[in-house]
Amino acid sequence: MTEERYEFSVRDDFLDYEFYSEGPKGIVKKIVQFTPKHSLGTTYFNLGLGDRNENKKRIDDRIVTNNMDRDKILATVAATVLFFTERFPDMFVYAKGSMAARTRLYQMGIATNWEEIAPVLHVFGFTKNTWQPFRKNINYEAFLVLRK
Amino acid sequence: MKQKNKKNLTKISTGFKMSSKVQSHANDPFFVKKAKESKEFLDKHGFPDPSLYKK
Repeated sequence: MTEERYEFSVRDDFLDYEFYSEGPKGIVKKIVQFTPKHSLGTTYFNLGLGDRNENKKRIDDRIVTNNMDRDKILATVAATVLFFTERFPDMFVYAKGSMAARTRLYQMGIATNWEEIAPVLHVFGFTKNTWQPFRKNINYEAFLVLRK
Repeated sequence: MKQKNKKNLTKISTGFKMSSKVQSHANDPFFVKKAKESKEFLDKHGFPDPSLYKK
């Protein structure tokens, strides 16, 4: 990847990934999960990203960790998508943040790691009521990727 | 579903380890909610036109 990234652990069904963000705020466990779903006769996977809150024993993506490692996290998430789609090359992966700011973060992650992503993935962004091939510097509502 | 095995790893996939300790979060309320929302979105808006990605 273009950016430095964290090593991640993957469950043997390739649906769950975890890694640890390290920075001034300490060590935070990050979870990436691919959830299978069906829509309009097509099977796809929803990409979820969140922090594991060990006190509540659940995931929360509304936490702003501020661990000064945003690019490293985004590069790691991009790596999990490349890893996952290598194993499920016929499946779309859908991603949309819980908030507009989080969706923009995904957009930054795609743009920053574009050199690695573009040769292997079709990336689409949803804007103006339609799916379009991803272009940098456009704000999208959601993303779909598919292995080339 | 076409699934490749662990032997077919590219250089992109380095920096990982398979681990039986990684929990399944499939039933976590957050991910369940996100997946439900994604279906609502795609049911409404559909998928990209195949001409954009089919060879």
